[in-house]
Amino acid sequence: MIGGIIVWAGWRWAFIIPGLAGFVWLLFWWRLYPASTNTPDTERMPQPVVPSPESGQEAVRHGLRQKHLRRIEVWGLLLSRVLNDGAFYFFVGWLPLYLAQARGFSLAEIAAFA
Amino acid sequence: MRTNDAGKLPACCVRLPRSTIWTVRPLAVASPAIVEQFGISTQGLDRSRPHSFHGIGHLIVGPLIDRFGTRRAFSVAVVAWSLAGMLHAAGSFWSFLGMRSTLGLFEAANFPAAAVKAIATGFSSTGTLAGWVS
Repeated sequence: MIGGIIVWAGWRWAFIIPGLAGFVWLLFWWRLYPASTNTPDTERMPQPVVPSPESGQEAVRHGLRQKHLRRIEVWGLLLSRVLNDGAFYFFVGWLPLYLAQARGFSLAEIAAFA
Repeated sequence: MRTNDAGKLPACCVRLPRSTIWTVRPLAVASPAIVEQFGISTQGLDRSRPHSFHGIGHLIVGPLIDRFGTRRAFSVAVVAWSLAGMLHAAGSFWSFLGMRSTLGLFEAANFPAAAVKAIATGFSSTGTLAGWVS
């Protein structure tokens, strides 16, 4: 679709049209997402099963800074993202340019490949 | 917990603005045309700086979503990154880079912070919705 827009109207429209679509999406979000979440929802989060001496926002803050960073699972997740995302975004970002410059793909071919 | 889960529509609602569709792909697919416009030497900066803003954004948006609520905070983020996305088209390379960095900063709100929290707090069938979002 993006490739079609570029061929049809130029690359600038490939940014303008998805940007406009963001506003269309916003209408749906505003209508469909429960309005009660319009309030700060720290207190609406599921409470931990094990009672904590602290409560509410204080516990969330404390949890973020202290408890979460002490858990091995968090470091495992971080490691997987650190190792994976570099490669992933390298390909997402550079592959089309490589296909065009080194392999002579046309815009339509890149769009189909993407 | 609310029981407002009218099938897949809310899930699509959360899923639609995911970064690969709206933001990364236009740049990637448009990159031959953009190189023609701005030159190849700009492309390293074009890929790296917005990503650092995106990384910083992740650290900032989580607390903001907790503080102001998913509905409001995410709406502001969508407006900001949609505007930044449209303004990519506006001018020189430096404004392009600036808009791209702005987009990266606000787009960080989308996933995982807002999407996961929206599913966890807004709808009752969280497992089904999480599957659709992924």
